[in-house]
Amino acid sequence: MTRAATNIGWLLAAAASAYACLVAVPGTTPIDRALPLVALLVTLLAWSAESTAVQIAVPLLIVAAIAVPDERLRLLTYGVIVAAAFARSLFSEAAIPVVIAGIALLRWIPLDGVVVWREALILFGALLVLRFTRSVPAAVLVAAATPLFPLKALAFPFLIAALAAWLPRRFRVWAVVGFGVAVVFARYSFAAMLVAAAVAMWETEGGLIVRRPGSAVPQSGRTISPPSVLLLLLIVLFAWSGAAIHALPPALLVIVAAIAIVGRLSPIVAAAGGLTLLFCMPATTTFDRTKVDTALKPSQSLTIDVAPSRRVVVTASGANVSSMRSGTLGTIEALDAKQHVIATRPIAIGDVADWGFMRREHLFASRNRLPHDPSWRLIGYGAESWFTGAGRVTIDAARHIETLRITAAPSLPRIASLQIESVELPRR
Amino acid sequence: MTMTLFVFAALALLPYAMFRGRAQRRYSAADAALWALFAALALLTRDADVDRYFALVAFAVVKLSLFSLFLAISDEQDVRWSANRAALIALVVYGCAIPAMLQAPIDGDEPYYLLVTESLVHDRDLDLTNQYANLAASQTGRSDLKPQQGDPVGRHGERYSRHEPLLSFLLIPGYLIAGLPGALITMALFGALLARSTVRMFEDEGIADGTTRAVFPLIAFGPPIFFFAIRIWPEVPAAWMLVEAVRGVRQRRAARWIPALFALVLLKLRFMLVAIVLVFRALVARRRITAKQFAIVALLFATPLVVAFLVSGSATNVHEAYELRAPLALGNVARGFFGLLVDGAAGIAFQAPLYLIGIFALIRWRAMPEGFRLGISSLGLYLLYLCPRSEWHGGWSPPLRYITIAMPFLALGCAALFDRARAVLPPIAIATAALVAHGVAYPWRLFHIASGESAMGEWLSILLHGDASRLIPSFIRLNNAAIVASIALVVLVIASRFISVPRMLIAPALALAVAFGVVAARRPGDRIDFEDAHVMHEGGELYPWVYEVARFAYRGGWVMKAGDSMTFLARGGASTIQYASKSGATMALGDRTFTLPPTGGQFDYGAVRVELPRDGRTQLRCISGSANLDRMVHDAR
Repeated sequence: MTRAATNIGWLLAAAASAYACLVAVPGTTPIDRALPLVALLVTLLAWSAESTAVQIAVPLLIVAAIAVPDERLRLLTYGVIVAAAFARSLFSEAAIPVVIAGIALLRWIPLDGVVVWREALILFGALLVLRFTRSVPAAVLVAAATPLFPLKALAFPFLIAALAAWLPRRFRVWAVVGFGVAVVFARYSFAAMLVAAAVAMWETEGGLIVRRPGSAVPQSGRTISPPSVLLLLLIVLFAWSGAAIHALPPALLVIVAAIAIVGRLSPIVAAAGGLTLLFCMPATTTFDRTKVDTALKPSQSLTIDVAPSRRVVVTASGANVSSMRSGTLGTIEALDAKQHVIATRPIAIGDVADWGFMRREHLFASRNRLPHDPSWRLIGYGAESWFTGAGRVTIDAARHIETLRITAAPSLPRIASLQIESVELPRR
Repeated sequence: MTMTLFVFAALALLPYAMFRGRAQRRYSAADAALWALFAALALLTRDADVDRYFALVAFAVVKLSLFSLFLAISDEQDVRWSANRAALIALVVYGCAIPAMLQAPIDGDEPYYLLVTESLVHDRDLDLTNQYANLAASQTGRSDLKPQQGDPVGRHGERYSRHEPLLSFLLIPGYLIAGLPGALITMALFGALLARSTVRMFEDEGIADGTTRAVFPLIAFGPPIFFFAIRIWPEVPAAWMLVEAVRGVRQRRAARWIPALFALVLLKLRFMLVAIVLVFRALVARRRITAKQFAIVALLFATPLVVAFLVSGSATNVHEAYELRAPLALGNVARGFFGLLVDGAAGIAFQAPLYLIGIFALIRWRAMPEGFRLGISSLGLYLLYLCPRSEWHGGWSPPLRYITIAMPFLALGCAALFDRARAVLPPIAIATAALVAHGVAYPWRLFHIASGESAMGEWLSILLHGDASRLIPSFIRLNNAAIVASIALVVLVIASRFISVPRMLIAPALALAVAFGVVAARRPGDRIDFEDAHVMHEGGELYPWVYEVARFAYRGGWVMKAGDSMTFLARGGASTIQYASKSGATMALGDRTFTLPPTGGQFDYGAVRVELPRDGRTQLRCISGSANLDRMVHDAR
């Protein structure tokens, strides 16, 4: 086939794939409705990799759409299928289409949430990162971690590109270490950007990875690097990319690196690690949950009667507290049958956070961090998804708790409040 | 838990047998990532309503697929490839799958083979009378076993099995060591031997190692060979014998092909049709035949006839002379032939898609390796007599039972066409993996009643709340999809000789086919078979009984009595209900009542015309009486 005929073939393939998804897939969620776009991106990946095997992802997506009724499982299945397609394309010489596809998956779904000119700037910055790092994972991760708001945050990919271009080789390892250490001490809202920066320094040519001239493929061959694995895991979670990129703990990169390194040693070690993860996952204690949904102004109190239990979990969050780096939002007092206080537990920033602090409009300016025991309540889809700042605060007592008294701290700002979402008791 | 650990430990050992150097390291990294992904998915879906066992089986199949992928793509110097290693890997994988098969009792002909083994071990005879009397002591786990239709009865009332005894005899050592699991491991050994012989055959015919490594997993770990290698059927041992016989004829080594053919015809009398052609080809290659050679050939054919006579009193066992005329019924031949190719429940296209490539190899006959041509041609007479049989689909057995013996040769055709077929291999590989995962997780679903539906059709019908089965070709209950698929296949096979389809359009075409299928399945069809899965039944029962012998010979239906009802998607306008009813019945379709007059007897069918106001979901209720409702067909204007 001539080159023109081949390109026409690919265009037809893209159109047919998108149309098939449009026709067959019920638009239950924004991700389902975005499947035609995903089909286009998969075709783009296939074209860039010159691999028709990648295209099999499209009929698989349709099969998943009709065969998996559970929403979370279905969207995860989409992610696994697309990640498999992406994995093949990571080894292609044509890196730009792969970067565009990755950014589109992680940032442009749902389409109606896209702010075109901002995304165009981020894309341009990511392509500059690609130019100087020659790494697809670095470019996509930097773009994915760039906050959409405020405007100054859009400078992030350009800063990284500049670092990659001008930082002398002998400082790159120190840059990786520096960014890694900074994750521990910096604001939580910067963690994703710092991880992405560390990855970019790691992947920059002349640093730790050597590539063929003009190529994005490592000279050592087709290597599955920790940043690639991290990127692929994010692709698996593309249905909730907004939440995933910020809520995945920075420690995940360490875990991924450990698995990738240890795994290279032996499949038995990999199997042992996997089986350990699988079978030693903490057993879930099931809880009986009672909705409360009450907001407490400063100094306001709420009394809740509960069935006798030695442990109670209160799910709470703050309102208008995103600027608080630390501090107490309230107190939980546990009372017994005789109304004696038998246990007290403060509710502090760290136990809970502002309810909407992870929204993309608010995250950059927020001083909160993900609670120690988050409720993992997810809102939205794709790049607009976010976890609420609600945290689960556990109070234990030596005797049976029969009443809870929750009081909002008097020191709370006037406009702030402590929101009590629910009370849970362990099911016997 | 223990079995799970054993299986995953065994799968973890496979790379050590095959890979070294860079391939080993790359595989390990990929394997680690796969484990991390699976653990993360398990964590994220803890609260979801998911079949955990199926998820675990599917993960094991994905791991095996990853291993197979690396086997195919790794550099030659990093892979320790040989026929013996291939056999070893096959044996390990089959061994891992056997515990899954033991979830459900053995079925079809399997328990009868095992009963004969038990009789040989305990009683030193082939008489199954005391085995039937004491089924509780049998390792078959089947207290419901009765002699099969046509089982020979001895002069003194002895109960013999209709099945040739060689397989049962071969199972004795394994049975003595470990009972039923031991017998299954014996079958797995045959599977491993088949794997080895197939690889050797590929080498003999000049297939490159890289191609063999790419195709081998799909053959050894894909249906039908995979399933028949871990269950008690003669098909895999027979396939092994035939491969060795063909290799022997090709190499002109009588010491190889004669014993192989001898064992083949002793396994099942029907394989004599294969042996006749192969012996003819072998002898034609020689210019003259000695008396000794003639005597050996005569012995080869006479022995199974004598054995059959001694056991059953008839040299042809349960076969009758009229069966020789079967190929004259050309309609039946065509039905069986296309059924074996494209039937949803029993055809290659849906149950073992890899071998479709081998079908395409048929039209490139002269360019194919000599081993392919010899093997396929030796099966010609066998297929000619198989196709017109009413049980062409294999009866109560896993799919493709009767043509498993052909698979190594079709696989050789696939290997010869490998470079041309690369674009279709990914969907084939995924379909194969899905079939294997389904069969391993739900082994009882390998057996499907001959109702005209398939496991996939039923599943889609329930998912989509519509009749998806009508879109899947069926030659058991002939439908329009079967005719369309047959014509399409012929056109495709011929066109492929002259036209090359752009590879990038194959997957989108598949996506469009699935998409339009989904849309069509959600619309009402012209014909509703009341026994089908898309019909939601409240009361009533299936007709005939689900395990009725030769069920395919009956008109299926659903028996309703007063108070029973069913709902289904139907087209508006006039339709005809076909039914049978001794005493008649009063029915209600939506809000309209009508009468089903008596038809006389159980097999006397009548028809009644009904009118539906519009397309949509409709309820049919039985108000009084009872009737066996077969189908409702929309009247074409």
